[in-house]
Amino acid sequence: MNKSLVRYLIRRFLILCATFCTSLVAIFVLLRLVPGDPSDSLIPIGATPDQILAAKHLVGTDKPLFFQFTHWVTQTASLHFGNSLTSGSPIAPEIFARLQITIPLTVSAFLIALTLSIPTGIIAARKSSTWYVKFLNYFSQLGIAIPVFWVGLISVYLFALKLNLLPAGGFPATSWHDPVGAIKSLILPVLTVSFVMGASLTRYVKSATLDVLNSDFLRTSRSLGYSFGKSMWRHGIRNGAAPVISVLGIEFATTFVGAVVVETVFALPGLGSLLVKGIQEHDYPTVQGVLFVSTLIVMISGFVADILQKWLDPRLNKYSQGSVT
Amino acid sequence: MTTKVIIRRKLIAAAVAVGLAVAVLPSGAHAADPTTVINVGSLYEPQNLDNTAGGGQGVTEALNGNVYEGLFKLNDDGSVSNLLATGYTVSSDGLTYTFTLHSGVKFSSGKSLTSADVKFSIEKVIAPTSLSARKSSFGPIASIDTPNDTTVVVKLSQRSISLIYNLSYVWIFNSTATDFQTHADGTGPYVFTNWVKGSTLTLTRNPNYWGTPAKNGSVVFHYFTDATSLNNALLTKAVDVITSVQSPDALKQFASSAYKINNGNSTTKLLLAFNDRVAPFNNKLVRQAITSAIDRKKFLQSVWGNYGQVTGSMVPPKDPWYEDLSNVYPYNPTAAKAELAKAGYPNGFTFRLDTPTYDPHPAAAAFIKAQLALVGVIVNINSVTDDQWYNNVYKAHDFVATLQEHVNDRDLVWYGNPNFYWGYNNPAVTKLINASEQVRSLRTQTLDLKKANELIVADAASDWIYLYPQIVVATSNLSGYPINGLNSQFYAYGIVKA
Amino acid sequence: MRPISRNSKLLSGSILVAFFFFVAIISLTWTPFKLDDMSGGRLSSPSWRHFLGTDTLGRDQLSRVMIGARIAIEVGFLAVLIGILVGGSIGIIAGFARGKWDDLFTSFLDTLIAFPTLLLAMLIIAARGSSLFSGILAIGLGISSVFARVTRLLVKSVLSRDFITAARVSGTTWPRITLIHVIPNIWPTLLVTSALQIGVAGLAEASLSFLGLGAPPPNDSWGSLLQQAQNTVYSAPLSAIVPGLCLVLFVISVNLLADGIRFHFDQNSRVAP
Repeated sequence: MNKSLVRYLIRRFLILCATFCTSLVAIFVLLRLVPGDPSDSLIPIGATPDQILAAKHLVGTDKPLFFQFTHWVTQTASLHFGNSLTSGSPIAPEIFARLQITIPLTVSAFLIALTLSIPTGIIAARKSSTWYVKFLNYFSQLGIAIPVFWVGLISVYLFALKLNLLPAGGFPATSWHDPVGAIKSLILPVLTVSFVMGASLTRYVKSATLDVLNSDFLRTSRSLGYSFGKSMWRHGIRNGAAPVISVLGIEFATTFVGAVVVETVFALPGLGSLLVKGIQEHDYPTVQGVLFVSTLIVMISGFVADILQKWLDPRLNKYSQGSVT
Repeated sequence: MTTKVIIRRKLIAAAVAVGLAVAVLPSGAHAADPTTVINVGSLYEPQNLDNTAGGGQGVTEALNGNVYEGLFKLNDDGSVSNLLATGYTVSSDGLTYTFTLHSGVKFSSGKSLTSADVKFSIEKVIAPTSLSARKSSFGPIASIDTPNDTTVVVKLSQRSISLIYNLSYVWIFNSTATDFQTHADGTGPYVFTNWVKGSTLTLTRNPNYWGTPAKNGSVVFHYFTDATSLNNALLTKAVDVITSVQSPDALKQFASSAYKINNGNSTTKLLLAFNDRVAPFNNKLVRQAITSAIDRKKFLQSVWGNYGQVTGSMVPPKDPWYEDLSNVYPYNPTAAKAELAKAGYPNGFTFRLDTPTYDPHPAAAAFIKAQLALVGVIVNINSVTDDQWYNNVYKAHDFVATLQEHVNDRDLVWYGNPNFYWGYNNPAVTKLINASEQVRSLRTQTLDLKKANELIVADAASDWIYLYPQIVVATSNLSGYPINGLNSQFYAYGIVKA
Repeated sequence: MRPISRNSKLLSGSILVAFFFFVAIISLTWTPFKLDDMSGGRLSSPSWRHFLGTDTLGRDQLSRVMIGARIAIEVGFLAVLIGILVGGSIGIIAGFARGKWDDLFTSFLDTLIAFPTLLLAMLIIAARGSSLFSGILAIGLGISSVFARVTRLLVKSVLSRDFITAARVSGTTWPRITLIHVIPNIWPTLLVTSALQIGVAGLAEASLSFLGLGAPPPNDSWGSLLQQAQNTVYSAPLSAIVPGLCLVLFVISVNLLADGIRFHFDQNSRVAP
């Protein structure tokens, strides 16, 4: 690692922090711009006007906005996310509990998708019209066209309802203290997500492989006498990997909170459902807390992807030659 | 001088017996098994554990009667019986109620129940900070005294015949506890053990319960946000019972002998609520015409098949003042057209229908639009989120007509409040409803409210489209579960797995 | 550039997409039955009168599926339009950025990508109510981050070429360079991306509908039909299968179209796409 790389990293890191803080503030403002009040979900039908005021007082929205802002800033700075406005229970333990489902789900699905899509994408890029190449191509075309909840519903129907091999949903009440139960509950969701993610990644790998195969580097390398495999490794991967890595970073990040559809089908109490519930109830602290965590993870994965790209190809600091579709 | 009101001591005993029998019905005598776990599937997760601080429908389902108890209990058949109160007396002027408490009752934390807890709990409901839906019904309470540990004296400023019934909703809290939103310390047959938000809520049998112990070892509520996942859970036996199935077509999956489908009574009504303050719905003829132009029976059939019923009013069958008024304005599009012409709209009119986005409201809106088009009335469907409905329709009264479901029982009394969101203002009805609370006998209350209901229906104040069915589906080896959905309570202590 | 007749993907993709377009346009003025017509009987089986049967209210399923095609096209094209306009503009500006501005823009883009489309959709619906356009706006803004990223990389790649240096040396202004050199070089790839994102938009709308945030009736998309069919899948399986198949077929067709367009413009390619 040379000096310019270190300087680049530091600069990126500082900018990262700045954008992170800005996005948190933007979220704070955005949430309060939207009509609706957290007290609305607490008030029953038949409530009197003074009960409506009492509810506002309970959640603190009757205080001036500036006060709410400073309160939130001091809370977040000490990494104390406060209590949910609707349930009154502390948010940080709740997020932590939900991460224990979302992180294993996303990471496992990601790893499986990666392991499957890299060889699949590379094979699919070859010109040969053997049956398995054709099949892989059709299969990956299908995989990116099916809505993820359909895949989930079909897998539940097959494996849970018909074959009775796995649970149809839910997560053990004792969480990871029941490791077998927890893993069983995660198998179908992980397979669902990795199927869809894998199909999408295959397309990127295939397109990157095609670009590499058509590129000058490879032809030069081959003409210099290197075998196909060695050429691929020395020049192909390095050049082709860059756009794939940047896509990976994004896919990983968006699956984190985007898995809410899978969480709904499989009744998993993950981070996505916490976010959705928080938004529906205007539970500002919860939404802010979840977005804090998810934005952090996205930024870190983007940062890591960046570093990987740089390490693989230092020329890539200003201009990229890779394919982008 | 107090008069011993014989308020059916014997009838109460009978009601309790009936209640227990209904709860235990098909099973016969099964001994309580401390190891059985009953898994209940539901779509209604509580928001928090305090029913005076916005806990919502879910907290009633999970905790009412299971963890928390009241002075009185609302049974599955709609009757009210003693629970923490052994009995009560009323003064002859109806303004002083004296309740006697059971002795030897303990909260799950070990603290003994005293009258101070009862006073604390009632005051929690009527406090300025209370978000309880029942707060306004306790308006007549003037003072609460506790002469000794087992006696509570409640003084009213005016008669309130529904007091006993209303008290069945007041949970008796531990007056020394501090956090009611995340902890639950009650006197009931279960102890609140654990709540994994978005997933499960666990209750374990209370070994020190003062009454008949629960027949099972623990109850776990599993929460889903999606009806299909809930049904799948029952199909894979991940849960043993679903507290309410949302659609009749889903029932086909449970048609085998492995499951039992129960068709009980609910108190949830689907309403086409007119804004009775503004044109054109401030005109009774118009409301009548619209009601006659919608074939409610056909719509019920399309959503629920053979389940549910058209009651024609706000009153569900489990309310004492129920009568079938579905034929007051039967389906008659020709008559509807004539009434519209008479009201000054011979060519119909256009109006905006604010429709919530969740089932069955969008389908209802589409159906109503199609039906009213046949009589020349154009409906503009405006989809609103819960928030928008709450702020624009309920609080600001900024609407012309809306669709909404109402869950509570005994909510006919809202028609006596001209400031309620639909703005129905009939002084005769208001007088009748207010007076009905201050009568001396339940029979008179029933007669008064029946009369009021008839007036409200004749006025076509709203269009009560249908009463939801309450469909509880369980595995066939399960028994002892409640089948009527009274305000979503779900007593779990009688459930037995064969 | 290859002759179109040898480009099987472009051909098949275009034909399929054109088919959906055709159905969508027809549905604007005619469907076998009107949506208000509830005379078909509840969940009746397919017949000559009702080709795909009826739903629980007695409405003709075929008509509803045809309208779904129109919604899919509307959502796809409008969302992508928003994506190109918003994302493309940001991407072009970011592409020209250098040094610390470049890093700033990269971070900014990362933040945009980090913002979940679902959250955006819920906020927009909370602000303007649940409608077809709320969904389109949310999806469009969500897609714009993809367009921004793609456009930025493309612009950077073009700007690194020699003829740009030549143009600058000869005094051409940046706006003119953008117009004459940058845009003509990036639009083919953007076209491919657009085609792909039409499919992405369709799938995103289906997910929103599944969560109950989709367009309310009468703008029922295939996603809404799927969500409503969950209850009736046992009594009327066709009600779930047909909308799903239509959605899958639609996405596959735009993907084929995208591949075909790329193959058409990719002069270097000697390998099949």
